[in-house]
Amino acid sequence: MNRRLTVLALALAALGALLCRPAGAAGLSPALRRQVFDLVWRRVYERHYDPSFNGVDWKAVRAKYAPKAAAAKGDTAFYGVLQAMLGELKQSHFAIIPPSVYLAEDDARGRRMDGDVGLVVQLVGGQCVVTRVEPGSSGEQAGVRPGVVVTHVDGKPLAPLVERVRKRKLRPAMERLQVMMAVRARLMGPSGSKVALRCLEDGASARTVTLTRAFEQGERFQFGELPPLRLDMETRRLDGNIGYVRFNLFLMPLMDRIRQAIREMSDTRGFIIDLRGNGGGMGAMAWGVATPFFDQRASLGTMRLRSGNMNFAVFPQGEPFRGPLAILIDEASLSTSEVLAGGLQELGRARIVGRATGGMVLPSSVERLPGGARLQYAVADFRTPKGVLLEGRGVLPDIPVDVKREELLAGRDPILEAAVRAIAGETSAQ
Amino acid sequence: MRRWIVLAAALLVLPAAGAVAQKRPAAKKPAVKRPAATKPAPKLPAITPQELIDKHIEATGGREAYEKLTSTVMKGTLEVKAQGLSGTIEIYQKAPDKFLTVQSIGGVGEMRQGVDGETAWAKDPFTGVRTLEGVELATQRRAARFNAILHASELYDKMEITGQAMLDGRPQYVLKLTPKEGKPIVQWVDGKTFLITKTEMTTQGPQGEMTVVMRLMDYRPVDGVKVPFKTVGTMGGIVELTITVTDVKNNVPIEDSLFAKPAS
Repeated sequence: MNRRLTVLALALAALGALLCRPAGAAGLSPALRRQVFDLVWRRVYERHYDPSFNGVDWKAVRAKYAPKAAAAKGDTAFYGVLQAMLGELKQSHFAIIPPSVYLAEDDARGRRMDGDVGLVVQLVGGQCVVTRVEPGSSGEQAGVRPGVVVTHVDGKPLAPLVERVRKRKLRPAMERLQVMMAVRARLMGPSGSKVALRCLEDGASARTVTLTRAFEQGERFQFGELPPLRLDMETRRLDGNIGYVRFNLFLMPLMDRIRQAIREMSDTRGFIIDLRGNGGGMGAMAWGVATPFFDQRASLGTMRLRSGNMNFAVFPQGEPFRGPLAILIDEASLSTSEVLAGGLQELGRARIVGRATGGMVLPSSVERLPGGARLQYAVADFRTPKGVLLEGRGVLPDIPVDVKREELLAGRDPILEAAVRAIAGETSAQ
Repeated sequence: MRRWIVLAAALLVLPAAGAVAQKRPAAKKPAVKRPAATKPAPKLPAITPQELIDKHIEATGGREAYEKLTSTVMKGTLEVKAQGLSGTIEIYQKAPDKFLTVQSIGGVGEMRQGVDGETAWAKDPFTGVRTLEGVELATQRRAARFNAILHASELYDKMEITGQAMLDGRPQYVLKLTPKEGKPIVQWVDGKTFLITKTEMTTQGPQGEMTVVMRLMDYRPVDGVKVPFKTVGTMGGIVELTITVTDVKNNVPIEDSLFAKPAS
């Protein structure tokens, strides 16, 4: 659930879970709807970091959406109107997370989109290709492996979906991210339900595999009003004595574990932090993760609020890791991942390897709304030390890696391999 | 007050939600105009800044009551209600100039900040331990001064009453205190009770600059000195937190070592 959770945990909230509603839940009264609508609109009006609202006439937006909200048939449609209103800002980190996402897990089992098949599917060479298979998942049990092309989900072809996203003429990273999220939404569903994938293996042979979606066990953590999120972290010492750590979210239970891993592998010749699929988390953790790699004070960048600013300042703590550092990224490395990667890149402390990130980098708050939904709204922007705005741009790799399906089928990880080569090159040059 | 900036940063989350960034519009429209606040002008008697401070001291217990205190331990709860976060806060003060705050918030961890009489320091789960310098050091040392209100004229280079304002329908004096280092602190002092009702300051330091506004309420006497038992603060206009004091003890022995900068 590592890299997919990142994109999905909250994307699910805003997309897939909108489709679910707890059975028997009472709808919002007209008065409560007005209250919720007003609160959502006002939070943006009062707290958006940009008083020009990204060029949007926010008062006109209210006039446009108030009647739609009042006329919406049912809560799902109402929350959809709110999401559409926030979408007018054309920025990340403005979202409505519906109440169904917060149902107690036991109550929700099988009634919300909590079932997964353990596959990460990304655009590779223009096709939807499995890039990761979670150990123990139904995908693995069915023999699906990285490099397999998924052409249909439940009989529906993916090619038109890819084409629809292409027509939006987005940045390549955003195009890949949207395809990834859309495929993800099709793969997920109520736990226990089944999903049929039409797959192309080596050559042109095709087969259909039917997978059972399962609720993934594991450590979960709920921070404030965010939904409970599953934590995933992996550390190992790679061949060539290179330290490696991968984690899926920037949340506090992982902070000490990440630092401990870096300490325990301080004798390695280089270090790799794998942020592929890491959808972000607590902003302050960016400087917490960066700290062990600095021997002098530094700043990863600055976020600007409507009133004031905050530096992502790093203060050295004891003996740092002085060896070369590589950060692995892809289109699903978002938010805090981009803060960390972008800052380390500009400071010259790390080489960034992989594919451009999604460019969704606005620090935000998540607040409970009357009726149980949550509002996520951006309250700041973020600029790198040189003043580059990462929202809508993302982090561009120093070493871009064009992943090929054949490499995945051969059991290789080209992005990781490129990072290992970069570290080997740096250490041999020294 | 640097601790607020770390707390604010900690409470901001960056996981990407469902709304996906799209192409930005080419041009930005001008900012939405906001109507200017119109407040009726209160009519309070003219008063000098020091007279106002003296009235505040008197209203909260009197100089003699303050001077009987040598240490204070304050404990309470801390809540960021809108974001579903809560925790505890402890404040230790010892005359003449030692100070420690300990904030612990679920999902964030423990944040400490102290002054041992000379050195000001901070520790949090993200930054680790660091020594404060410059404006931050000066600000913290002012905060560490025990019974600081009795020494306002020493702590601030300039004290002025900049005007009068209404707050919750009550007339207030607006007192501006400008230190030698750092930005001014503005305090609203109720024109009848002479209690401080609101404080506005700007934190400054290597971690940024942020406006912190605090509303002080529910004053209760403890050992003859009135203490606000409830504080509602807004950091950077985005994070609203409520501190509720649950226990105040004065003149309790506190080891000096409590205020020392941690090794790590």
